[in-house]
Amino acid sequence: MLTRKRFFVLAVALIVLSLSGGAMAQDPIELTMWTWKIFHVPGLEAIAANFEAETGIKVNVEAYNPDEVYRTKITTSAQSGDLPDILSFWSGGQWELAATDMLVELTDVVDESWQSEFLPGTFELQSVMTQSTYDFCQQDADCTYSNIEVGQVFSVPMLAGQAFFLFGNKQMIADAGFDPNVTPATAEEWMDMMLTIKETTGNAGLVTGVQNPAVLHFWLFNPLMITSCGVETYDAIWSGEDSFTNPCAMKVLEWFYAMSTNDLWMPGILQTNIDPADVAFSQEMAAFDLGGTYTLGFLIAQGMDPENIVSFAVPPLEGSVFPILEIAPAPLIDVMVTKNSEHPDEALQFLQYMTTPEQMSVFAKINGDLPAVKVSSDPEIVGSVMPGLLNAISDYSPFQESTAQQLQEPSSVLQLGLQQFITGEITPEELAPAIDEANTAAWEQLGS
Amino acid sequence: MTQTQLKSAYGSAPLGVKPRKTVRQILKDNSGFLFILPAMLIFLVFGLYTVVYSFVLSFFRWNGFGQFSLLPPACEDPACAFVGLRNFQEFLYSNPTQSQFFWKAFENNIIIAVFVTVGTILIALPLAMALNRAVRGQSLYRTLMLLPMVTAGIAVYYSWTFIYQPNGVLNSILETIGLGSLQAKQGWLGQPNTALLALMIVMIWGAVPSAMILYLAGLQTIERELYEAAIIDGANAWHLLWRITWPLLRPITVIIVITSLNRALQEYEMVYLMTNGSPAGHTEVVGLQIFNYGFGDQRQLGMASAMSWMLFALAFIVALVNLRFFQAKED
Amino acid sequence: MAKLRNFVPSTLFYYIVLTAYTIISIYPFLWMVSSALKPNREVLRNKSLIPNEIMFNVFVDTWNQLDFFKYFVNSAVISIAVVLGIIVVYSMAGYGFAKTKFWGRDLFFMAFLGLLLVPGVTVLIPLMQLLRALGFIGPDSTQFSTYAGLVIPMINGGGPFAIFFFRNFYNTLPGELRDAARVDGCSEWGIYLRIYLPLSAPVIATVGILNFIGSWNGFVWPSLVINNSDWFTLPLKLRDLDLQAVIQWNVRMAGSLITIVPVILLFIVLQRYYIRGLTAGATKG
Repeated sequence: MLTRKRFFVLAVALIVLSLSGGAMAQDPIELTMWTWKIFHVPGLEAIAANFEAETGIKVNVEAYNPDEVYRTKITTSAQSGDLPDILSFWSGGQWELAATDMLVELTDVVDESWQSEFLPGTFELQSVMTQSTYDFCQQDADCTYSNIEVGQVFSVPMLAGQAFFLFGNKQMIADAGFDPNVTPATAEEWMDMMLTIKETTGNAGLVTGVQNPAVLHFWLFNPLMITSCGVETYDAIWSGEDSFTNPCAMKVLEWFYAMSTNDLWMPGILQTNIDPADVAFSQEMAAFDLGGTYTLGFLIAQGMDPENIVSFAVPPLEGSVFPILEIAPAPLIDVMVTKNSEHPDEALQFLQYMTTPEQMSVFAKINGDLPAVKVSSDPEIVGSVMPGLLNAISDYSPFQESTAQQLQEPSSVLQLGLQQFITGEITPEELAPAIDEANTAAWEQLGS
Repeated sequence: MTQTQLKSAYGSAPLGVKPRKTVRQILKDNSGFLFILPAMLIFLVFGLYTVVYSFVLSFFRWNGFGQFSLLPPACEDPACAFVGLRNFQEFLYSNPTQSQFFWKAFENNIIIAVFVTVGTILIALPLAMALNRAVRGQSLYRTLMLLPMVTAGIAVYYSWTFIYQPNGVLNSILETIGLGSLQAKQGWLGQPNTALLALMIVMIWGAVPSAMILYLAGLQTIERELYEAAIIDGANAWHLLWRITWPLLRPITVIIVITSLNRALQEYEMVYLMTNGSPAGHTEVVGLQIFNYGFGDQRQLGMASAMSWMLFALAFIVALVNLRFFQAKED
Repeated sequence: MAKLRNFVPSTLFYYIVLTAYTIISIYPFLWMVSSALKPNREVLRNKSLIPNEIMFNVFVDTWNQLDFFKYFVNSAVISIAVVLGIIVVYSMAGYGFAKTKFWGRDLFFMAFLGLLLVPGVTVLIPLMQLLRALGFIGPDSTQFSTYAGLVIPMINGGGPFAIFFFRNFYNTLPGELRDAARVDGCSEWGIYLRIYLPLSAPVIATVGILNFIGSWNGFVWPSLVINNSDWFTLPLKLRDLDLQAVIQWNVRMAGSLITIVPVILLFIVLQRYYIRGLTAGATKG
């Protein structure tokens, strides 16, 4: 017998159930993805539109910038549990997020066939916890992701790229009497070229975003040093087992010093940041611009004629271990699913979808940025910039073999020193021991 | 009423202790508190809590992910760890690289504090005196000269950056007036010997208007007769300035000095937008380091808090010294 | 009279000094106007304030791209809320500190002033946590709750300075005012509301303008709190415009100009009161 009260409860429950069931059926699933690159939004939205057409699942792409705001937003959202379904983050930075249990583990999900889609040197180096990263972390008492095990995966790479590319203004090079299609084979030859250009045409030699202290270190110093010293010595020096006074490193520092004593930098170089540097190059204020895979699209967007640009890899110094620098792409942005997601399966489905070659070609065509996925080299599919980029990169680079950690302290001293060459405040003979000192102290502190 | 009567009326207060007031009386005596109650509530929740939070955080190492919170207390390995005084030790002395960068930035803060304060006063006071004398057109001059204080934003910094460029306006003006040898060939923000100076000029430019207005108001309260009497006593122009104007304006000077020093210690946004510490660290300031530890890619929020508290302690001491100085002169 | 004149430089000298400094004061603004009217390439090359050819279309395009009125309203709502909040809360507090007595008064006053010395960067993270814990921002936030969460800490930030000014100003008013009102049977609240508050108009203007400028130009804090691009303020929208791939200095300058013109107009209209209040609050303290 149903009492009246029970009947009432049952009726209400039935109504609620039917209502909510009905609502669920009508409500399509919506996912949210965050990025900090505003100019990636159109490309990501194009992928999202294709995804919705195929699956009926809507993905909203939201951008927050600058970098500082994006990081802070993730921090506070993580604490209150309202992270979006899908996050994009700096490749290699995802470990800190994973360590605090923010991310869905993908170790068994990214199978061999998915892995084979990625460019070599991306997924297997930064998206999987490698033994060397693990060892370094265990050694450092302050490491913030010491609970991640070797082999674990929490993200997949989306965007790749690499610095180490030089862009030359063909007109200026030709005006100084050089054949603009013959690129310099060594750093010395390149410097002589800049000297001649300066003497004959009065144009400055090189521009790049020197105001950002990391630029000279990572874009120019490291490639010159790893080619000059070879991987083994390069790693030994950074690990504190060898010295920056080693002739192979001194040669690099002296080359930098000569850039300043020969006055080859664009005037005002120390107050020039990355984007303004590219703008200055497009405005013909220097003969060469140091950048990366992302630079060419930017230069063209600034109104520069692609026919007037010659691009080549940073040329090694004479007598280097590696006579040419091979450039392999490194992952720049990884994408991941957060544990706050109410639809982790659908979010994962989107990750899989967006990292297919077809969808990444759509992205590449819109943004002119190099995907971390093997895409076609047909300009019809990927746009006009991409084929040249794909042509310039190779599968191997000495940096892939390097396992050295570059600690923060010696890096700061080096970065400051490279700027101080330009201001004339320090010489290579003074700088090298100073980096050594900071390096030794930093490794000692790590060991204790 | 006698003491005994009071006692019986208000209950049994022990001997030798003042009689206790009724709750009603206490409430009435303190009713003025109601006026500050809204301010107090906001202060407790949004001011004091956050300050205490950052103080506690300065004894931790935290990368911003995972949990760190005061209420309820939480700090989980490996993102967060208690480190005691280590943050303070590292940037003050124990880490050679960090402490070297910190003290360099600190030195710049001191230079900025001294030069911007002195510069502001040296420009604002004569301008105020000129404005005080220029009766015709005073309000037009005043309006235009006040404009720099309206916009401290990114827009104005963009403008100044252009003025300072190697081929910018400042260099071409120097060329035109025959002082080409003074040009900064690498740009005013690009040379170690000019960058900090160039930044300080923008700071002074922004600080002069309010200082000038305060001095102008002060000058208008000084009686003309004072000067005339002094002249009769044989005073010259220097005496008038040094013995009459300057002492009478002292309270205003103190306000200007306190605000200017405090601003110089906390400055970061302008440096961040204009030079970000370049060239080669010559414009690095402590506020910028705090910002980078707090929001840059090497996040170490405990370090950011520890440095903030160093700045706070310094600002506190400076303010105390100033107030002491001010009171001593008044007595 | 004649004697005094011998001791001061001629009036002409004063006008030369004033004119020279006026040019320095407004030059960066003139430059902004001039770049907004130049083609992009000319901004980098032509140092003269006068453009080779004047282009108004950059200005008009930027105005349209900024969707000026929508974001102007957002900015105005936020800035007005901050100013109103500060004036209501801290004129009361200033009165309490100046004219009434209660336990711990001077201690509380010093605590408020101490807040001025705390570097603003420090408290951003705890503030964000707090706003989320209290539900101002988060998954279910609305434009209203977001703005409330944005505004209240800004009110708190403006507090110490406002209290200082109101307190100093009320202290300068003669005590007889209060005594007379007492005799007429006015309550403490009535004295504040009917006598002291109306008298403090110049301080209200000063505190109001300073905080209006501050919240109008604010960038970092709003960009952390606001989660929806429809709710952006003008400077945030300007930054959005700025992040397009092509750096256009003329657009940047036109946008900057559009963003700050409302504040400049407001300031020019109200500067008389501003100056009176600044001097009343600072010189008599």
